[in-house]
Amino acid sequence: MWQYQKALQYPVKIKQPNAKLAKMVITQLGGPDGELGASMRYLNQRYTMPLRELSGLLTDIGTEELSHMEIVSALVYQLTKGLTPEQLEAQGFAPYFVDHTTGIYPVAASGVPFSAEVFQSTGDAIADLHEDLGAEQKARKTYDNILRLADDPDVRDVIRFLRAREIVHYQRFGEGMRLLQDKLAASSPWPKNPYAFNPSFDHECWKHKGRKEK
Amino acid sequence: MMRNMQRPMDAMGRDELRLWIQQLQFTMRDLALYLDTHPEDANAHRCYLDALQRWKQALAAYKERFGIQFQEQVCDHTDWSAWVSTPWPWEKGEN
Repeated sequence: MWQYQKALQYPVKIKQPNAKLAKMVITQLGGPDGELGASMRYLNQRYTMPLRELSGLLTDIGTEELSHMEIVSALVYQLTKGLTPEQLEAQGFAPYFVDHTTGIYPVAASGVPFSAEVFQSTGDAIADLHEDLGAEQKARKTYDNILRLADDPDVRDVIRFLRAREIVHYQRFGEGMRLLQDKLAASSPWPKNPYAFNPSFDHECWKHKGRKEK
Repeated sequence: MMRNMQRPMDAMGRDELRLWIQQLQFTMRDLALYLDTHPEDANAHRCYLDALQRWKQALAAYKERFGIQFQEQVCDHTDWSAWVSTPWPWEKGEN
């Protein structure tokens, strides 16, 4: 189960509406490397992890990504609040406006709606963790690119926080991967190449539990 | 580290105390990720419990001085109507 706390993980206080910037920032809600995809990726992958530590990590990071969805949504909401239709159109927001007014809907910067095809859940812990490490770096890249284009200090401050979290998550997933590989190397019948199999499905990987490395 | 950062809670205004509560929540979430892959790190767990205790104290202090903001502060049905009518966190200047 989940519980909601009525507070953002990091405060969002935008003074100057800017629909042009909202159109870029919204990609971290519904884009290919956005927070919705991140959350769905981790929360779906966690069930078949062969180690409880990894299910815990995916649960907690997947949950944090939900709070990042809320931060990105708050950014888009405040950046488009109070603008007239003419201002929204002049700032390049008309194509979004005709379908969604100023409601929050997950799309990429290009306008393509969110798709579950941006992530995988393979039922293979090694494949999933590699995707997760890549996903954190891809999200960090998008935040870097937003920082290259955005000059509003209120927006930049929030984006820098989100960027830093991607780096922390990358670190944690790296530790998770190391934990899995160390345990596999100690128990797989193929200790020199334990990564050639699916440790979530091929039970032979865990045959020699507790074997000491020579 | 947090010990040095904290001003006395009675000296904090409404926004500062709410930010302190958010900082403690964030501290716990960040430590939780670390503890998932380092469950035997006793020092990290002590930091977690320290933040949890400060968070509970800060929630109680906030309710006493400024009223309800978080669902954890709700005790009876009048508290609930106070909770639901406070601003949502995405509202400008209210998060």
